[in-house]
Amino acid sequence: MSPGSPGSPGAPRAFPDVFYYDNDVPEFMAAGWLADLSTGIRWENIEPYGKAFWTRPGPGGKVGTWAIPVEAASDELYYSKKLFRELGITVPANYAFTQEAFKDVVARCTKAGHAAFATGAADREWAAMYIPDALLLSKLGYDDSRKLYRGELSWKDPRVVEVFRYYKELVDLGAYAKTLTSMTLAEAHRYFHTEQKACMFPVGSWYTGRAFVPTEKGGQPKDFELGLLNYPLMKDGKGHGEKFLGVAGSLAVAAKSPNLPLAIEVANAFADVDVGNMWMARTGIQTGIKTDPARIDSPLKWYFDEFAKVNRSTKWVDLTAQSVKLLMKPGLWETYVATVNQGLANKLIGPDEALAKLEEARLKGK
Amino acid sequence: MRARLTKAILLVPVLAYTAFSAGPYLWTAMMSLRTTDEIYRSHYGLPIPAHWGKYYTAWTDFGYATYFKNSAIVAVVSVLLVTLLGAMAAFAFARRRYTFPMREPLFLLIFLSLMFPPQIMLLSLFQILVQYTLFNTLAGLILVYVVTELPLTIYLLRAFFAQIPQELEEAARIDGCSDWAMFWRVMFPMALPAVATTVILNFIYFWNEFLYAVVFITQQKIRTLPLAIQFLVSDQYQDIGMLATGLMIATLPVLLLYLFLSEWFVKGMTAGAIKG
Amino acid sequence: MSVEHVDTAQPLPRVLPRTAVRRRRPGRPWGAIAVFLGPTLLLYLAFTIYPVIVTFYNSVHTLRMDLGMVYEFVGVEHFREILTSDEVFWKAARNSLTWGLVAPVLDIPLALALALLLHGKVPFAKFFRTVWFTPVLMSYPVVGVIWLWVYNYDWGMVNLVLRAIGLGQYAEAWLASPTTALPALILVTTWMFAGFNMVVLLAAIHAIPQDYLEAARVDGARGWRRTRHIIIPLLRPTIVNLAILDFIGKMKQFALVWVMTRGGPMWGTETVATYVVKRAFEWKTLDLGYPSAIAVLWFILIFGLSCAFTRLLQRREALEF
Repeated sequence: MSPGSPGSPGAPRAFPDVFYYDNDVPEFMAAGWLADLSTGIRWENIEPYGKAFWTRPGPGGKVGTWAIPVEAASDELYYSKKLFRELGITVPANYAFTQEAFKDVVARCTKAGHAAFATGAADREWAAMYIPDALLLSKLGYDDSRKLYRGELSWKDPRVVEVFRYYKELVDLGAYAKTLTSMTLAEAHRYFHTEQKACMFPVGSWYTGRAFVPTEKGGQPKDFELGLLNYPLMKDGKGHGEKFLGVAGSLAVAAKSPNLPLAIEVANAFADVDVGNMWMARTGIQTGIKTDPARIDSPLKWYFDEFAKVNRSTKWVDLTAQSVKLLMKPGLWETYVATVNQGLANKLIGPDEALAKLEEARLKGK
Repeated sequence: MRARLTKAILLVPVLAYTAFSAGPYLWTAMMSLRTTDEIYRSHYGLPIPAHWGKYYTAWTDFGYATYFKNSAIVAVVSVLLVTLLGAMAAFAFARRRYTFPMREPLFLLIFLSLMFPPQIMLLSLFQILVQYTLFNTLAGLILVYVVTELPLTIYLLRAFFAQIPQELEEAARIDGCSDWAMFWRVMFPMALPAVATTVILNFIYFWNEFLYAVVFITQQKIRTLPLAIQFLVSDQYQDIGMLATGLMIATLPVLLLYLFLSEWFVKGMTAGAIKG
Repeated sequence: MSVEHVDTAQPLPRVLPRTAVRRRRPGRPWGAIAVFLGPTLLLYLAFTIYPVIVTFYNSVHTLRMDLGMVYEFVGVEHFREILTSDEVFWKAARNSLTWGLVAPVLDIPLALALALLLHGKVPFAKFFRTVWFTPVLMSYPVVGVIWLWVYNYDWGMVNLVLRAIGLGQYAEAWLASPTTALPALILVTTWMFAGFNMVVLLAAIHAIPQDYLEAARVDGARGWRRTRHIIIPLLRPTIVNLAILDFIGKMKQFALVWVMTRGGPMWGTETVATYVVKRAFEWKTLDLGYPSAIAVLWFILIFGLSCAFTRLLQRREALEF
């Protein structure tokens, strides 16, 4: 039961006027509990992808824009420069390995006794989904990936089968640590940057929010060399260069607020480049509010520069490992979690069995 | 001599089980006095130096004061209500004077509800609480808690009230005692030992309850301790040290009371299990 | 309240012994009954009976969000789907039943052994009893977190002990595999309740009249024979009670799973209770019909089995008044 998501008909009465709204309770929009922010907000200060993310049908099918995107995070693949150096791995110019090369990277990593991915799936049901989702994106491209998640494409599609088989090979090489299931997301950070037991860390770019804090609070050591990669390029893939970017925590206004105009004004205060800059400087996390990088005053400048370099030709597509859940019907999502986050990653089932279960769930239509 | 040897041999499984039983909690207690950094470096180290300040930090910075307060309010108020209502109802079910048609079937119905799994009421209670704006309130939770423990309380106290001799009641009645006074001045005081055991049983239940709490409370500031623990697991699991301190805060009140009143506790919690 | 005249001699009632005269009751003290029982009955009706009825009602309806949040009657549709095409339900039911049936088999013999140990004049029995009873005083989230640490693959107590005694190759990620996860959780509840059951059994043993034990000893039965043939049979009612309580408790199990594994891995620890909550609150459909149907099925099963077990296993009527 996630805190703050009653998901109930009584919810409106408990809402503050302006509140932090995330995309894990999309039913609020359909039920008409959010105010339509199409007017009254300085959308020129908001990134277009952010506005587009929150523009969708609301109650009765009427399209509106339901929140201001504050947090935006992309699915990144961080790596430890030091471990790559030790293992003699060179990063290609476009920061993306080919399918074969990536397998080799994983093999070298695991042979040296490390895990390839510092994933901890104990407390997040999408933790081990970053790699398979990214591989699917690389192979299928954005449109077909969406179709797959929405249940419009069969899980028996040969490209999907190929991706799952390839992923299984990585898992079999020992890509995940044996503590995958008992390690939490927070511990995974530590596993990666402090204990240095894994070469790479596929995680949202809000990694910075947890890593760039003092070490007593779980932050990365001062001398940790953080690098960024693009996800591997699947052979004959349609989605090369695409990366998931999603809007997360956003600002919404309660439709039934007794101070509606004032509430909208308050929300509007966030639609400002200065606020965007402040956000980036303070949290190091991307934001859907437009920013002026030149004016960001932050010791994390090296990170922003590196990020820009790696993602110079990235095509951002609207989705993240966390928000695949929104596209999938609940029954399919549950099966996806069980087979991908738990089953495949823990070597409990093989790709064919996983795909069979997923296809079955897809056909049930729930 | 043989007897002493036997005793010594018997001690082995006893000590083994004690290690099994107490080990995990002792480990947690140790971790509660160490910082997370220290723990990660050596998970089983001794708390030297012991950071007693962590309890203070957990209380103030991590919100445990609020969670503790919420748990206390819920537990105390619920216990008061369930004891009051339960004792009165048990009294009316027990004494011959208050027989009425359908009394026994009614009691049987209430008693049988002890075997109802909470799911049969969970979702509809959710709807009802929402409808009457009791969702996400401590008041709503208290009401549900009271009703949940009424059957057991009534069952236990009824047995006690039933065995008070009729003559006592008669004598008091002759002296002009009204029903109300009979209950408050005569019967209830006599039942205090039995009431004490139900108080303890119920207090522990309310302090530790989780299912209803997790479904009916989603606001952070009225979370009870069990909810807080679960939330911190998902949000701040990496801070093992602080989490361990929080666990101690959540369990120490009950445990300390138990150490002083262990006889009462045992009687209370096992009262439902021993029959006859 | 009027006093009825009776035919027989009527000195002041207070002097007559009660049994001598059969007099009509002066009328029931309805006022008192209402005051004493009223609040309880009201609450009980509102928060127990009514919700049960609503759950049954919900179980034959479904919420149509697209028709504007209207409930539509669907008869036995949910039940049909649950029983014929819901694999997760069956997995959860199997898990819950396993838990409910295996736990007593573990808890009670263990508790009995412990009780007999303490009864056998082990020194410091009181101390051990106090310690062993403690786990049951903690809430499930607390126990869950502690055992998450205990089961941790890298540094948890279980694997630490295994590695320390040279059985390191058996060290597992206990909660990561469907085959080990449920047994691991069952061990946790055994840890919690063995001490509790032991205390009850110990009290029951103490309640055995000394004469029985004396008579047995005179007849030459001592030690283990006395235990097996005298004590244990006399404990039968208590044991059955504890077993049924254990069974019901484990069939309802929600909290421990919720904190430790959330039903994973791959539904290996999914219980009916967790599944109901997931369907109701995490499936984003706001439809309480389907989970209510599951609750109804489960209610019938638990209630039915409890009554059946009680009837079957208790020699005397268990419902004593």
